Amino acid sequence: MRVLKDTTVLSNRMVATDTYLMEFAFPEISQSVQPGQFVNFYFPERPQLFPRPFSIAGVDRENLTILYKKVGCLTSIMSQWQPSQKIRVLGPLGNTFNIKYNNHVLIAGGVGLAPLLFLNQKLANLNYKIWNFVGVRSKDELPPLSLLSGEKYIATEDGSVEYCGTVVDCLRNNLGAIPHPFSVYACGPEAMLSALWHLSRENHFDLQLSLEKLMACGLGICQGCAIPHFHPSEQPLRLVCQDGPVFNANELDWK
Amino acid sequence: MTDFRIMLREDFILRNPLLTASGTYGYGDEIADLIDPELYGGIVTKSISLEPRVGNPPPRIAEVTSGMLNSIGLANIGVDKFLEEKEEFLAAYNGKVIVNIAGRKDDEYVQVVKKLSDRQWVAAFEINVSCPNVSEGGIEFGRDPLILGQLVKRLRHATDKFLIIKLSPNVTDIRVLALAAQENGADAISMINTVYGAAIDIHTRRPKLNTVVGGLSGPAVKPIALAHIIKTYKGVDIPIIGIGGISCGADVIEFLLAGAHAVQIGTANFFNPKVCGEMLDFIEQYCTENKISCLRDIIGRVEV
Repeated sequence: MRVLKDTTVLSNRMVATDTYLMEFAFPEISQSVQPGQFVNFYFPERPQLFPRPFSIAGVDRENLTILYKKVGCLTSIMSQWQPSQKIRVLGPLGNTFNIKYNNHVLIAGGVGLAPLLFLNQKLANLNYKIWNFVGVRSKDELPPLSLLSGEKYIATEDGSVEYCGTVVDCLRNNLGAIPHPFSVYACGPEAMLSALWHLSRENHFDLQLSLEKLMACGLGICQGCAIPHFHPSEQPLRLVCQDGPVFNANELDWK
Repeated sequence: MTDFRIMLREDFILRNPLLTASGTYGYGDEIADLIDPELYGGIVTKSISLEPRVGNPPPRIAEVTSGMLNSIGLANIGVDKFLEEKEEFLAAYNGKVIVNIAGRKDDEYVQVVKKLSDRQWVAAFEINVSCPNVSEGGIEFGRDPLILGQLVKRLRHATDKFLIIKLSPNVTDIRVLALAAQENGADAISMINTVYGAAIDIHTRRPKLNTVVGGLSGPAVKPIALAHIIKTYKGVDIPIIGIGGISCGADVIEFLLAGAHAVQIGTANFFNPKVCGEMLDFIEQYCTENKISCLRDIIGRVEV
């Protein structure tokens, strides 16, 4: 059940350029949250009105973590928060990744790693085989991957670490080595998800994508985060906050 | 304890002047676990139309300084499904249920009103003649006093329930529309609906809304709403329900002083789920400090 909670920051540290890992107490939901779900952070006194949604990046006993990038005014404020900072958080919101097979491929673009960190944690606890692909522009944007269990592949656009190129091309080059059947779980920029969607259509693998859209409420009320939905017998629009953020590739169309 | 009750008509008394604004609280049941509907004097539902509507293609919202742009396009489940799915919850609600209605033509509004008029739990209708985001049946009814008057007259014949006409600020003189509503039998007017607004992404050079122009809400529109209410209050005899960026208890007091009998809380529900409880606490404290025993005594008492 979702809970609106006034809580405090426990830690908030920079883990890569402009990228932060924040831990906060949320015992009411820490045992029930699932990978893929997100929380809203509230800033009622700011001229930027909308709450900000963040994927849950991990759970440690009573505490949750988020991984976020400093991109605008509110994330800049967040990056300054010290332990004991009071925060208002609502969660868990949204749906979860659907675990079907024994082999799991996680592919992240930049801070899109957030929900996949939590998924990795859960899959590792269940002793599944995991392949992780993480793409960033350059080495200094790479979050520490020590939290990830399983095989790790890194792609950098400038070639400063490992594979030089996009993370989707990196996956394409290694696809043959992953035993079928497997699921691919992805979160990252739109261009990456689009390329991955096309790869999944060519190679017929199960693909689940965590999407990001501007939301005014995160609760299915404002109907602002609608996306086109491609299921012949169902309604043509879906809400990322309520029906997602995780969608199966079959429900989407990047053509 | 201050008396928060507000009488809008002899048979229509609100336990407090706070209502939800249409489109910001769903149909009442979806977020009741987070925002207690019993704190509110009443719930105004999302706009209901005769047939379901999908709404406009995305992108549908944008964040602007102290405001929100939307172009949802009255997405809703339609009146039949509304009755099927929401009646049980709304019939059990202790505050007033105000059903907001949208239509493409007179007949559509009248048909929805007729389908709902025999329901005890429906306390009032709010007629949306001011949506800026649909091509027909939105603001065209709310722009011309003759067309509005005809619609209100038909609705008045169709129902005895409390009838509220929701007005747009996107007109030359809102008072003319308010008078047209009053003369044709409306029990109250609510104002203001969203203000025309737009935003552009400078990198893609594309508008941030699919419909280019949408409706602005939130604290940014509060002074506009107050100005319209102050101007209209002197000119009409029926009560005004104030809407427009109300975000804290002080804002509620400001709207009552300007002449609103009640207010609707909209965008603030999105950015502060605790806003209603906080407002009630503030109003109680304000009334105690200012020796106000009945909140209704401050309505229209701005000293100009």
